[in-house]
Amino acid sequence: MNILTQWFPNVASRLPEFFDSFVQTLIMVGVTGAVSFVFAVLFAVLLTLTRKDGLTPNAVAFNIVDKLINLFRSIPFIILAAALVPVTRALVGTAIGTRGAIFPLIVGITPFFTRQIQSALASVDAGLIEAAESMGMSVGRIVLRVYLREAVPSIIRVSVIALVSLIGLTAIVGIVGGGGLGDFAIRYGYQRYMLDATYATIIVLVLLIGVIEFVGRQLVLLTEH
Amino acid sequence: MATTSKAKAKRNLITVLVAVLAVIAVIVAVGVYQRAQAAGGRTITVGVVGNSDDAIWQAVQQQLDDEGAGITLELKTFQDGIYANQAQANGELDLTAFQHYAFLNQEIEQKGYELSVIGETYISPLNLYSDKYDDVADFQPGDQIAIPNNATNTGRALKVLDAAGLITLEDNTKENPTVDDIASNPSGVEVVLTDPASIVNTLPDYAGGITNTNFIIDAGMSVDDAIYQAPVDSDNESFKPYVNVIVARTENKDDETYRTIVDAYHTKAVAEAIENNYQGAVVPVFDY
Repeated sequence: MNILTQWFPNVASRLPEFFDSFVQTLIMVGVTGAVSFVFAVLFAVLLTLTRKDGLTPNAVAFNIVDKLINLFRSIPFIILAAALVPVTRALVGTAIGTRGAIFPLIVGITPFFTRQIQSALASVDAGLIEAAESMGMSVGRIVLRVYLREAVPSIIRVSVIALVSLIGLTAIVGIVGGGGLGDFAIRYGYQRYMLDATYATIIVLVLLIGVIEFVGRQLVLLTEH
Repeated sequence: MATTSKAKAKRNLITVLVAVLAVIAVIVAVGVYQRAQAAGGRTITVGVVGNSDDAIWQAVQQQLDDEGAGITLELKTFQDGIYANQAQANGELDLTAFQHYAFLNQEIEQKGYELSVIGETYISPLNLYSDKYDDVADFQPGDQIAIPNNATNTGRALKVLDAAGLITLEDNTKENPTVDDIASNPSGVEVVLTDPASIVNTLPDYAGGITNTNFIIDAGMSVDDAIYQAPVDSDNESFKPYVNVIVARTENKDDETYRTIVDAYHTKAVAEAIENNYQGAVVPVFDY
């Protein structure tokens, strides 16, 4: 405790707030990560199946999703978060605080997450798909039994990458009152020149990312064969 | 080989899982504890920008507690006033206290918010600082001066440059002049619009900079370091637009609880907290 007050005086005197910010970051990353994972898998499967040499080629569906993803990936997140304020408010009732931050985060990270999972699915051996097809497996079963099952280690790897990017985005939603560690660092470290607030934030985030990467590596080890 | 590494991975995962569960348990416990502490009375959310006024609001809370008003103030901190006003107009905040009349009026005019001033707080001067020069007369043609990039403080900073004689504005009583309103530039300085919080940090890169006093105090500098101080006189009508205010939605502007909070703000103890917090650089504008 002494070292904390000595090295991080401005954090030590705001420990409850720092702790709350950490929890807000965890909530934002956890909820957004889970929801956008589901959407990303759906979109990625859709793109994989409907692409030109996919199992069920459909240029219209493919192009709509593909171009929408490019559109949303082109909008700088800070602009996107600001532009989404009315939509967020209509959907979740508030555009401020951690609750209001989650929707823009989902919209912000899902396109990136989709691209990552899409590439994971693309790495599945085409021979396996052909074999499954020739055995008369339905498209649904191929998706579940071959694509998703074979891609599990790659999906875990890309999910770790997406989660780490997501932590970066949570720092930006502070501008719309989203809270979190990034917001803490900006309000105290940047706007009030309390550098220790920035350092403390960095240390906690490095540890958080370390844990996420460690868990990801272990999961990959478990699922690889 | 493969099985042992898998067993190890499994063991590692279980360890991390237990650790994560322990962290979550602590978080939940702390949350429950905090909630139990905060029970009772009416909670009023106040939107502020940055944390410079924390000590002042603690003094207001102290005042309310001493009176036994049963009101708990909860500060909601924003990085940007535009969102704070938006949130308030939408009913997500009870009060805001970060802006001056000029900013509020501009927001109301542009966005049609129904917001009303329920009390005045203080006036915070905008001064010119420099690492390079000691006197306004030293500025050379081509020197860059950084000023805040939000509309009202840009206008205000231009008026400071005008008062310092570095530029002349077409009409220095205009509400929010912009760089287009510069009539002549005898000193030849170049005005650069930038984020007000970054101006202190980047001051060595510019010939001079104008920024809000709260940033100067937070950076460990003193208002006396200014090479030009815009004169502050709270009775002077030209300062009126830059008096900071407490704002409520127009429909609630006569709320009893809000009145109590404004009254608690307008006390000697809070005036002293303002003086202490800003080392006398910020001037309370209320009578107590």
